[in-house]
Amino acid sequence: VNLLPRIAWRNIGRHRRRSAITATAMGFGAAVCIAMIAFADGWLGQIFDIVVGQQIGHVQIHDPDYPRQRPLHETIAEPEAVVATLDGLPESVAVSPRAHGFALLAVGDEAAGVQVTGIDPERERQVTALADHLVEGRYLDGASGQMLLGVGLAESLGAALGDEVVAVTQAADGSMGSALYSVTGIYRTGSARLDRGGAFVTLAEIQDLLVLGDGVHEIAFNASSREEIPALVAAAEAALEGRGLLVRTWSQIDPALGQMLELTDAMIWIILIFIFSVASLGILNTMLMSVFERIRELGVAQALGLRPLQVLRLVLWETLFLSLMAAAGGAALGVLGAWLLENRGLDLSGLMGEYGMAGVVFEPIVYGDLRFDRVVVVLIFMFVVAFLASIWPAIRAARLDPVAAMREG
Amino acid sequence: MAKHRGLHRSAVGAILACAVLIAAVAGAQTETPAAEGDAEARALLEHIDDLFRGDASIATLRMEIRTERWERTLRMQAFSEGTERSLVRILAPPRERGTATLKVADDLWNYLPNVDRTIRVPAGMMSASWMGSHFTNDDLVQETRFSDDYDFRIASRPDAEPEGVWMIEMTPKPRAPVVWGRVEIDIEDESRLPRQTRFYDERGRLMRTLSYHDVQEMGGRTIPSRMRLTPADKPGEYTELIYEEIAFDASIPPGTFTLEALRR
Repeated sequence: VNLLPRIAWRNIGRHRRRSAITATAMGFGAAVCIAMIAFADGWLGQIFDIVVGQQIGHVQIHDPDYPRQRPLHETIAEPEAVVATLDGLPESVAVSPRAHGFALLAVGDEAAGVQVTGIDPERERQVTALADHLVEGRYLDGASGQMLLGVGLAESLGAALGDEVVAVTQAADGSMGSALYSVTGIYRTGSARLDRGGAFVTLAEIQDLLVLGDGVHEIAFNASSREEIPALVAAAEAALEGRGLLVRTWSQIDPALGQMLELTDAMIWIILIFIFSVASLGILNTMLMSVFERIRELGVAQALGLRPLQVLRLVLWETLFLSLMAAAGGAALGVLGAWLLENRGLDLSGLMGEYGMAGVVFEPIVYGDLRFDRVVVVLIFMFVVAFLASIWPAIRAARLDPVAAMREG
Repeated sequence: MAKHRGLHRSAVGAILACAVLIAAVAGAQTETPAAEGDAEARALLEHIDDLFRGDASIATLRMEIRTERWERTLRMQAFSEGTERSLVRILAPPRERGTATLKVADDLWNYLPNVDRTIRVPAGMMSASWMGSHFTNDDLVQETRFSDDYDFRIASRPDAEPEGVWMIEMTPKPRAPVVWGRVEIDIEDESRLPRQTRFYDERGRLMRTLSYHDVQEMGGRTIPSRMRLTPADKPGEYTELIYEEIAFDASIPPGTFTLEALRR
């Protein structure tokens, strides 16, 4: 029974160059796929972090009339009770209520219309990574009169840390409200909207400025991971039943981004299939060649008593050995490439400068994200393709007529 | 007629801009080459210009704003000198008392008493609401000259329907810095007073209507003392300006139109 693998192994050894070429083609294909998937995972993760991790949060609730035009008065009823309910859900790991208003911000002679968001600093820190993206200064500590400005906005206002900001806005009751803040921090999140036209103050202060009472416009909350989001949505919808609130995931809130991530994900798989198709054609060719070149040999083997099914298995064993070698080499090379991507990153700034898509300004350096399950999938995929590609040559070999075969060559 | 008649601003612009709205409701420059019916149209606009024009005016007025959600009344005092300078100061309600807007030529400043700061309104905020009303900041600074920026013609004479009303239709000249696609003004033949001004966008959709009411004698002139601006896209909403008092050719203390006076 051990005979077939041994013959197969010896056959591979007897045609070293051909075996090497096949194994290299497969291995290289696998390596490219592993590195590419790591790159794409890293890139998509980066986009997800920028938009979802730094501004949206996994899930948000609003009054159903709020999202379209964001009128000030469409606040969430009984915000404290809703926050407490969400806090109590085992699926939810962080909850942050927010209020938004459009205000004219002036620093010295410069002024700009800005979307100002009021946050509970400690709660917001749990939901989004805003606090980790300060390029200057410090995060809100809850004291009054503090404001965080987007880096682009700070630049266009000519604002520096400690500068005084005058905010003017029309409050929910129609009156004009104004307030003074000082710039305590400047952030860069990568979101064009936030960086160029966003500012943050404490929730209590914006509620006061906009005459909102205890009203909030938005409650953002997170699941423990991206995969747990659907469960969180279901739990939140059940818990908030009857309150008439709109519960939406980040991809419903930003469909363009959701679609972009889905599309990119699909493209990765298409490219993966493409690469393996090319590699499998190589495998098919090599295996066919190896059968045709050995017609006489295989004929002799059959004449000596090897049954057709055993010939088929022999060829498949050969494929398996080649695949194993390719997998070892390919995985090593691919993981090395992915590791480099993960630790060194790939600087795209020379290639595209500062670039953006769907309102997200990407970091110029993309860091890969090497995931073990992806490597396993690629290798399994490679084995399957190699097996499929060698079935036909194997059947051809099994169907040889020994007498005719031995006459050949 | 080469006499310089000053600026003709849109009626709305006039309203706030010259703070004393009235000062500039209409008026046309007369150098435009004569077209058919031009002379009559110009004569009408000039008449209105003469009627409302004062070198300097001081007015006390109420602004009543009604929106879907809330309604409120602001009392304010307005000073204006020519078409270049104006100052509006809010007298009531208390939350906004002292808030003031200064306009000098194309620039607009707001003074905010509760933070004691003056800010210049940036170009990007020109189309934003002024003091929460349906008027925009742009309405305050707009200095559209119908004669320079618009072609005008008589669309309807008093003998046609609607009877007793002149309708003058104005379309901006190419490249004119005007946000409207077309402006129509109805002028009553008998009193020679404006009745309604309608503003259309480039696609010919009505955007807002300014109507003139309650004609009475004020400051020695017979003028409409109440004006109502109705946005076409918000049914039920409007902003009204009601004159309580107005003095034309008033003497305005020097230094009124300065940033220092703004925060007084």
